[in-house]
This record gives sequence, C-alpha cells and structure tokens, in this order.
Amino acid sequence: MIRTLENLVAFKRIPRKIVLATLLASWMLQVGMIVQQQPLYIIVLFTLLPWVPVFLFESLWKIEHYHWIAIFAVIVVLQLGHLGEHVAQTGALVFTNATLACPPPVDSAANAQRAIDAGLRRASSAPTGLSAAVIVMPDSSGSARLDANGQPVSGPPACGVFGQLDLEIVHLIWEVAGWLLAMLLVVQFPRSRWLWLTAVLATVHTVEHLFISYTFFLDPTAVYAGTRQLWGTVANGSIVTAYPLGGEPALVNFYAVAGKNGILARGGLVGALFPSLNAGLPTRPFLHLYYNAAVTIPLVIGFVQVARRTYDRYLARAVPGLTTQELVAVTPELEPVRFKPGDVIVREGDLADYFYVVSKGEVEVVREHDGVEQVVSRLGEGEFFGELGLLNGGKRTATVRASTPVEVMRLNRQTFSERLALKIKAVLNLRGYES
Amino acid sequence: MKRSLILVTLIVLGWCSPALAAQNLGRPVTQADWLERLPLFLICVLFVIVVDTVFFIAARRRALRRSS
Repeated sequence: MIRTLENLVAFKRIPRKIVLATLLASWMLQVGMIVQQQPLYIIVLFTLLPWVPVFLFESLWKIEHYHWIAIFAVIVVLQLGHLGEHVAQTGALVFTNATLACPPPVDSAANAQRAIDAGLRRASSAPTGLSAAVIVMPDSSGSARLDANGQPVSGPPACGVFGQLDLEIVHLIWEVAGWLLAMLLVVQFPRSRWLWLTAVLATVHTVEHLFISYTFFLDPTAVYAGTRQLWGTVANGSIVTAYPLGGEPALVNFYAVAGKNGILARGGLVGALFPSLNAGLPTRPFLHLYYNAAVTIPLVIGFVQVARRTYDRYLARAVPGLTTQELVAVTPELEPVRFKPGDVIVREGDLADYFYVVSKGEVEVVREHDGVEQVVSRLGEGEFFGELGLLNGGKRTATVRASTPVEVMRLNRQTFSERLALKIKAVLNLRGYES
Repeated sequence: MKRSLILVTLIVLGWCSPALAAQNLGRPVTQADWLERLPLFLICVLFVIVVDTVFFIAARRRALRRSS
C-alpha cells in the first residue's frame, strides 16, 4: 500500500533535474523575499509560484494514467491547502494579537491620506497598493486599542496567509465547487463510506455559504445601525501597517451587521432564534475551521482507502487479463520513458531487458531482410512490445522506433518474469503467436 | 418551462428579500429580521437536498451495476 501511495505522489512526468531546479528557484525566491522583508503572503506566493507549472503538468500526466484517483489526489491537496488557511487564521487569533479585518486594509490613496491627516505618515510617500501585514487592533469606538502601558496593541490580520482572497465570492465558489466535487467522487467511488460522509458534511457547509452569500449579494438594503471602521496606512518598505482611526456611524446592510455570521456561528440564525444557545456557539472563523476539518478528515481517509487500488490505465488496456490486484502490484514498477521521432527504443539483436507499454504516440516495429528494413507493424497507445525477447530469455527479435513523440512505460525483466510473463503468454496464445 | 423557472426564481427572491426596507432607518437587527429570512434558509436546504439526491441516486446505481 505504501508503495502505491508513494508512486502516486512521486514525480513521474517531470524529470528529476527540473524538480531540483524548481526546488532551487523556489528556495532562492523565498530567501530573496525574506531578505527584502516582504510580508508573509508575498514570501509564500513566491515560494509556491515555481511549483505551479510542475504541479500542473504532473497532475495532468497522473490524470491521464490514473484517471479519477489522480483527480481525487488534486482535490485532497487543494483542500488541505484550504484547511491550512483556516488553521493560519484561527492560529493567529489564538496565539497573536490578530485583528479580524478581512480582507486586510490596503495601502490605498484614501487610507494613506487619512494617515497623513492624522500625522502618522509623510505627505511625500506614495501609497503602495499592498495589503496591511500589521494591524493595530481597534477598540469598540474604532480607535487604537492600548495596552496597560498605553502602547497600541498590534498583530497580523487574522485572514489566513492570502487574506486578499478572504472574500464571500471566493468562499462561495470554493465551497460549492468542493461540495459538487465531493458528490462526483461519491459517484466514482460509491463504496467508500468515508466519501459519503465527506459529501454529507460538505453539503452542510455549503448551506452555510449559500445563506451567507444570499445576505451578502442579494440583500443589500442598508437600514441597520452600524459602524464603518476607518483605517490609516503607513508603508515601511513593503510592510504596511494599518492604524484604526475611529469608527464612522453608518447605515449598513443585514450582512454587515449580522448575516456574515450565517447559520451556526455566534450571532447567526440559530443564535438569534435561540438566544440561550448563542454564547455557546463558536465564532465564524472557528466554526468554519471545524467545518473544513470535518470535511477534510474523512476526505483524506477516503483517499487513502481508494488510492490503494491505483493502477495504470495503459497497462490495463495493454494486458486486459490482469486482475485489479495484479495491476496495482505492477503499476509502481512501471517507469515512464520518452522518445523523439526516429529514436530507436529497442534494437534487433540486442539483449532483451525491458517490457514496454505505449502510453503516448506511435511506434513502428521494423525487421531487416537482406539488408532492407521492413515495417512489420505499428503500435499505438495501450499496446505492448518487447515481450518476445524476455519470454525467450534471449535477444530482441525486431527493432522498435518512435514514429511520433512517444512515451512508453517500461518494466524490468525481473518484475516482468515474476508478475506478467504468464498473462502475456496467454495473450499471445489468444492472438495465435508461438512464444 | 424556462419562463416558469425564471418566474419561480423571481418570486422566491422577492419573497426572501427583506420587506422592511426603508423602515426605521438606523435600527438594530432583531429576531424578526432573522425570522423574515428563515424561508431562505429552508430554500437553501431544499436546494442542496435535491442536488444531493441526484448524485446519491447516481452513486447507488453505479454501485449496484458494479456489484451485479
């Protein structure tokens, strides 16, 4: 099982030297951003950026070879990243003086001007447009909260690493997509009870976001008493600090005053209809952490359960008699190798060392008669070659050349003899060959 | 069919929109405001149940097909 999971996460499409170059680029960018004293989201963004094409191409290759299990793996990775954002948010709330101002205030012209008017910023410095990395905590009147020594209390914005994405539309799209994907996974893997549980929990989470989004997008009437927090921003290099500069009484819509709490969070629908329960309910950041953990844990267990049955589709097409167990056992031993048109993959007369399955492109099988080359057959995706030399324990009986850009999955002699030889013989007998 | 769907959507959205607009400007949120939005919550629940049922039936059929 570990070998199968290892095979699923190992780089198969991307060559090792590209992975190492990406690792180096990622590390250099990370160090560069730290040296430049960039805010956390820029450091993380530049660290992840070089991995995006690698992740994309590797995922596409795995989806081609392993179909839904690879899609499932991508969903798990994205959902774990999403859960990480919620952990970062609640972690900041628990362990630092973080302020729940999401998305964080931006160093805009208006915020910069407010800071200049308050004497916090020099008039000559232009706004950077960057999000605040440090926020001075506001008190109930909207001014800076002071500690026992009369100093302002400051900390990070409690909006996860990428607080700029802490928007209702992003939450809605993400959760609805996650819910529908969970449902599709249930259809693909209907025997996994963990996936059914994931789907039910994702449904409950989706109801929350549908309700919240309705009050945000379609309930705009501003009739309620509220306060608009005013911010002034000061930029020191790339680090922007937001200072609370008072609260402005304003008429606000239902979302701003209550709707953002949704159904189950403190101050939401359940708390309003059953006031005795309200104080015991979690606040929105913690409720949504619990929701995401509740969805992610069975999703990961379901994935581990399903991933044990991962096998290569091209191998299954090439040798249709193999059982799922046999396919699963052989798949991690397959090694992808790529060739350019005209490249010789095996040469007639050479010692037979590998068995091959074509997974992309077309190859031609060539034999020499009286010094003249003759194309015996052409093989495409899901067909195999190289078996005769291995079965006879001798030499290659023909030359195989790539006629297009080709990818083959090769299997070494030992694994072939141990796990495939009998089935291949049966296939050849069916086709009327004598091995 | 299409027209009736649009009509139903408009009725639902209209029904769920707060009817108290432009009244008592600057008032706090009360339980009545939440009660007014309760049908919307029920519609959200109904919507996800319908979608879930479609997927769950598909999943069940697939499971039965595989086991037969």
